[in-house]
Amino acid sequence: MAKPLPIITPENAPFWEGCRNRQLLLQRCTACAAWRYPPAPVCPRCASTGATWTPTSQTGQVYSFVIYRRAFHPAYAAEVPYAVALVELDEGVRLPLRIVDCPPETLKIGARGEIRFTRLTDEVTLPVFAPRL
Amino acid sequence: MATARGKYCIVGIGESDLGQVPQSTSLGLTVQAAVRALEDAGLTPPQVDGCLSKPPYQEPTFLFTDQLAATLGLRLRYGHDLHAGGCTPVLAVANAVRALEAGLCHTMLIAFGENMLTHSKTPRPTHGKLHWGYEDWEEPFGLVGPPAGYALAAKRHMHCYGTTAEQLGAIAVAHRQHAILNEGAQMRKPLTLDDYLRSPWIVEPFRLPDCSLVSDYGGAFVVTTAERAANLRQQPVAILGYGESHPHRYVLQAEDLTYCGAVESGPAAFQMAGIALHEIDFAELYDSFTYTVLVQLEDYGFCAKGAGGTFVEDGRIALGGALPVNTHGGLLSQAHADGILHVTEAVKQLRGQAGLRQVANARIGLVSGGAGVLAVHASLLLGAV
Repeated sequence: MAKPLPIITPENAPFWEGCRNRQLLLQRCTACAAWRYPPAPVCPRCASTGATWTPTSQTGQVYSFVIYRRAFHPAYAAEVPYAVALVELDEGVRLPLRIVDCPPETLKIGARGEIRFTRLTDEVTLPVFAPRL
Repeated sequence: MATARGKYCIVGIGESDLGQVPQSTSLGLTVQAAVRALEDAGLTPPQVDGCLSKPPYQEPTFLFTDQLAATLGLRLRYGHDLHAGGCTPVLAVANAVRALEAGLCHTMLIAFGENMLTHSKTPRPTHGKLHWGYEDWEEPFGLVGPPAGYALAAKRHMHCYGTTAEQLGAIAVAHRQHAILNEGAQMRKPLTLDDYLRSPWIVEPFRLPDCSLVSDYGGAFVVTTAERAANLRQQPVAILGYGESHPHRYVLQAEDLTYCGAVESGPAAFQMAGIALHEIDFAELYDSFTYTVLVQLEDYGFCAKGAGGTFVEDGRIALGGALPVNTHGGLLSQAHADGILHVTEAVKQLRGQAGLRQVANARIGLVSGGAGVLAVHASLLLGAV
């Protein structure tokens, strides 16, 4: 069974294009310089509509994490146990990301690491997080 | 509603058969609860002129409230669908008070139900699928299913404040003790802390008893003016205060994931009611997960931030403890009813009709609702008249 895939829209297409190019691009407000995620047509801090798709550091740390011991979607059944972390990028934005190259039991809140990319389909390449052990 | 304190009352409550109700439909469960609520109040359908309901998740239905009203033979002057998940009952009370205050109707039926368990076992073709909002920015990233978002919050709380598995377990155990005293509850098998610690992981740090049930349920209650309430069958229960909070939509947007909206909705409700926290005799707190209860105990101020784990130890939230919480067993052990049975249980407590679960001299109760992952929070204060 296929994994859940996002719907790519004109609004979020640059994010997914960035991922295909192995680059994590996020919108940055042209008025107040705030980063924002998920992609949105307006800045939630200052209501400005101007934004530039901007490369991020692609580094950050684990803000919190969970370990799936049971699959909640059949497409993930073969991967259990797997960890998903809420990763705080050095830009301050948080994203939920799959943890790779790290046994779930050894993961810790505060662990630093970097964004990597996993190709799912021609359109969708997912950012994932590799903690530095 | 700032001036509405005590002017409006809950005058009737109804609960459908709960747990696994064979052959049930969402509309059928809703109707069963609604009929019981009207019967409890001593009202007939022509006396009801307002209605609020929540369309079922599994079968999102256009004009569900009107379908319910037509089924019951109500002629509404006011009515619409209201869907805020487990916040729906508390938001509906506030909505009812505003409508009554504005004179748009005088007697409001609030009723909803779902055949969640039956539906999950016998999937029926649906004509539309609810868009939950998690499809694009959570599920493709592996964050699938209800427990994970709350589990992220619980894990962060454990990291920041040293909250332990045993403390989450104490919450599960207290809820089960209450459900055992509740004849209609879905889970009445005794649960010890050892049983809890031996239970299978679901999404770590949550084990199976940390997670609420999947249930068939219906719940209903009737709100009217204190004037009309005086002539009805039951002792009315007064609506004293109300507050709501909308801190974020997604967990990734939470400023500090170890807090919930009770920090804002709580003070708003207490200020409106003109009462203090220490006057609360019991609390029916939205309990999608054990952690959801713990964070609210802190954020309402029953204990210091970070001290929720210590607070729930030693039976403090069980019947007979300093603050009985979820005296019916809650979503964790009675049935997952999106919070509507938190309202009906609070009414039973304040009428003195809670049987073996009765809190002695219950005069003021706190009811809360939650929706999304700690996204929407609402607080309701009810008082015996």
